[in-house]
Amino acid sequence: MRKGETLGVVGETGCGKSTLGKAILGILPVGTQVEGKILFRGRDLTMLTNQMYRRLRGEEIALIFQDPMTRLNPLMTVQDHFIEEIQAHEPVSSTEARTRAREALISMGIHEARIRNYPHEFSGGMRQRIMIALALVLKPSLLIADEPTTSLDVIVEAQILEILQDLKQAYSMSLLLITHNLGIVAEVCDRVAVLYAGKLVELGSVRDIFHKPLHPYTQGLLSSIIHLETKELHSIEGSPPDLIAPPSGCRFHPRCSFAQSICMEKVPPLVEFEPGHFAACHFGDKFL
Amino acid sequence: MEWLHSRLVRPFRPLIRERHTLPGILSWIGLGTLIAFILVGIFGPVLVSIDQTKALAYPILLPPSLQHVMGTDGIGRDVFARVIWGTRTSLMIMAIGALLALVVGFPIGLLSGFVGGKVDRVLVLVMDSVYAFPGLLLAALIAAVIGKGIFNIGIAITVIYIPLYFRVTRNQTLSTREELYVEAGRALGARSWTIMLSYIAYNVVIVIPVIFSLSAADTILTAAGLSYLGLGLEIDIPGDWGRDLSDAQRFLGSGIWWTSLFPGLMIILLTVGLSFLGEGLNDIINPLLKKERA
Amino acid sequence: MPKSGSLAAYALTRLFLSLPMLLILLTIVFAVLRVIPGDPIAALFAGRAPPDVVAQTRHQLGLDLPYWQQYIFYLGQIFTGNFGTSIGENYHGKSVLAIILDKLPATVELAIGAMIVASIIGIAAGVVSGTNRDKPSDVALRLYGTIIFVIPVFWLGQILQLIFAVDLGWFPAQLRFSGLPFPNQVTGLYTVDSLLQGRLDMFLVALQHLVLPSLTLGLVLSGFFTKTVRANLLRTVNADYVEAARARGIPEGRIISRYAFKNALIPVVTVLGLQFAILFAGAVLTERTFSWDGMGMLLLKSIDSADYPMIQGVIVVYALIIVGLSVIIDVINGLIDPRVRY
Repeated sequence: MRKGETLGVVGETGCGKSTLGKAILGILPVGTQVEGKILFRGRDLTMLTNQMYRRLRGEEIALIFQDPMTRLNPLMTVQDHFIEEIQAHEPVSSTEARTRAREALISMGIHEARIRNYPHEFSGGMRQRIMIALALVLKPSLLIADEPTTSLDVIVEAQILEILQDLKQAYSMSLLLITHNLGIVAEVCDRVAVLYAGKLVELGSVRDIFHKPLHPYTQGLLSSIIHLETKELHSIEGSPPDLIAPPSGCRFHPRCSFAQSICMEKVPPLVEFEPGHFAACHFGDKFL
Repeated sequence: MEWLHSRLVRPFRPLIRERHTLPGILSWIGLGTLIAFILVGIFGPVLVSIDQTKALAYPILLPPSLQHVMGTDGIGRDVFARVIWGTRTSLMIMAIGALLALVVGFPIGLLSGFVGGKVDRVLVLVMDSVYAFPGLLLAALIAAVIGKGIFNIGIAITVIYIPLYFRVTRNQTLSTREELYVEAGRALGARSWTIMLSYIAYNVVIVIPVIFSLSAADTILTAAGLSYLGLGLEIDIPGDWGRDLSDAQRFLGSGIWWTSLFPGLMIILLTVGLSFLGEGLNDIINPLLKKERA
Repeated sequence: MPKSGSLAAYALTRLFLSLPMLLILLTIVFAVLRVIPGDPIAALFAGRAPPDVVAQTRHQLGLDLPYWQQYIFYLGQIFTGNFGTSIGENYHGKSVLAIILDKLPATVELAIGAMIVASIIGIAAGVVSGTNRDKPSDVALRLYGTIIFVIPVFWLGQILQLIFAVDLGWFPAQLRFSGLPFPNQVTGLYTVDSLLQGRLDMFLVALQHLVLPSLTLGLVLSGFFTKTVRANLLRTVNADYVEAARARGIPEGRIISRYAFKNALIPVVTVLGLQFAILFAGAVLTERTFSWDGMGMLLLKSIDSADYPMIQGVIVVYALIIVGLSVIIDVINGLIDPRVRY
């Protein structure tokens, strides 16, 4: 990921998008095996000690979840959430922490007077704004937003997206936007990563992905979007595979209309087909 | 025959299927214990002479030995014989209490669930109030007023069971009624009522073993407690664990442990067995009920 | 809306809502003592008094009046706080309420001691069990919870007496106090009164007597605590807000205490409300085991001496306590959980 950019991560439900966000922060359930490396500013996060990892969460990388209704502690006031988080990372007084909490909330358009309210006294959209304020109060360099608008209605969704874009510029922060909504990706992102069954199948700029998709799965995803002029809606046949026992070779082959025998045998490597445009398909060059 | 099979055998199938899981294992241990106690209750008194349970049958306060494996008590009764005869007494009280509670709780629960509205609200409130009050105190009060005896204690103890049977029957009736209303388009003929009753009866029947085992331990404890407080059974009952513990009290100071230890262990074995059975069955049957409904 | 105002309003509402329950319990007590077929007075005397004494007692107590008159008189007695006078041999002619108030503190002291023991053991065991799911320690503590809960409290008391009083001689087995002049009666709780008087020696004697009864009753109650704390912790340690807190880099210890534990506590407090029934039933038995001169002993003595007004008074006071505690528990829940008060 590049500094200051917005990377969209797309894929169907159950392909490992949410797991990605949690894996980066190292908060997967105990006993989950993590293979490979997670590189952040030249450090491999999987090598960090528990203590170092804890400091990194919230301070350098922050995460916004998709369901704001259940993500705040119902027994703590909004203000306490902020004070707690600030003091968990910086040695500041409660008074100072409170001042910063107030600023953060006001910047999210939440009235100062409500700072002592409890989470259940806010609407879904307001709670998501509180979650964003919480995520940004320590000025992280990377913000991971996991379907931040899925559970909100369309008007609130637009507001939240606007806020995210404004903030990204204001804080010169990178944004990793996890979503299944390609419309949002086209609108907000600089680059797109397409995941299928837990694996990266295509990576490139928004322009590349939307105009020259190389992977049959990406093509399938794009043809399933509803346009105003759409007459016939395509969907990808079948459903995402069982991740416990994934298919051999290319994981997409059982659903791919271009599949050949090689697809069943060999895992396709991620290849740079044109500058900055990667895909993991044996036949990627055919679609160029 | 088909009817009998589906209603009596089917409920046991999950128990057989789940025999390797923790709830399954607990259920089987509990069931085994209960069956063992029932066997002791039936055959024990046949094998152990009633004379051994009477005062001055032996020298007093003999420690456990080969002749008296659990020793003798303060008035010369054989503790082992008392413990064996006490099994029959406890099981009888338990059965009377459970049966009476079913007879009372089931129809009231049915009524409450059927009629609904204000009647239902009042009945639920009454049952909840009874449930919130210490069962032992209420049972003690009833026992003091109606007098001692196995049957009377059985009656006094139903106060612990009735709210439970009521609640389960009522909830089953309510949910079954809702389901059938939806199916029958809210027009119930006479036939539908019969179907509904058998539906509810079936759903309640599955849960009876669970309520029974969950509250049976409580009943045993309460019955023993009443006897311990001197409110339970007549003095000439050949076996009464609670009374034996009450009698043991006087000799504790002299370090006489066997008159207390053994009756207590019998109570614990039975109550632990029953609660293993109850909790195991609960863990097995509750998810099944939820699945059936979904 | 101000916070304290809404909490007070909530407490008042709860108090009001508890009235039907109180009335139901009082009615049940009335019915048991009068309407049950047979003659309660005769049953209480159990043949120890000639028929004319029984009849005279019935008349004295107004039990030969129509039920509705008796019922009004009975409710009137309770709401004016006049529970009548004792007819038993122990307290003949004395005010029932005065005797009950004299014995109440002993039961309260025992109940508080037991609750402290039960909370400490139950919460500690529940937290260990809940945070080590399905490990050997968890399985062992779950078994502990199931087994200790169905051990007869009077038997456990006897065994603890045998071990700690008779064998080891660490604690006295009987009574609430011995060897020193009694502390001045202020609250009636000997441990508190001795401290108010500034007498540490008295306090230690009172405490020594309190240890075994509290431990007995507390251990039995701890079983239910253990299970409830465990079940609710399992629910909250996987809650969404716990994951979110972890993602914000909140230290693990704080997540357990302020997120998982505190949220798990709410249903525990509710369940604790249901435990008062078991607590007071257990207290009656424990009082008998340790000759602890409280309400339970008073009830037994009254039943023994056919002291009808006293029996009724004691049971009514138990009902008042149970209902009062259920209100208090709800208010405490309102204090912990901002969502319930409005």
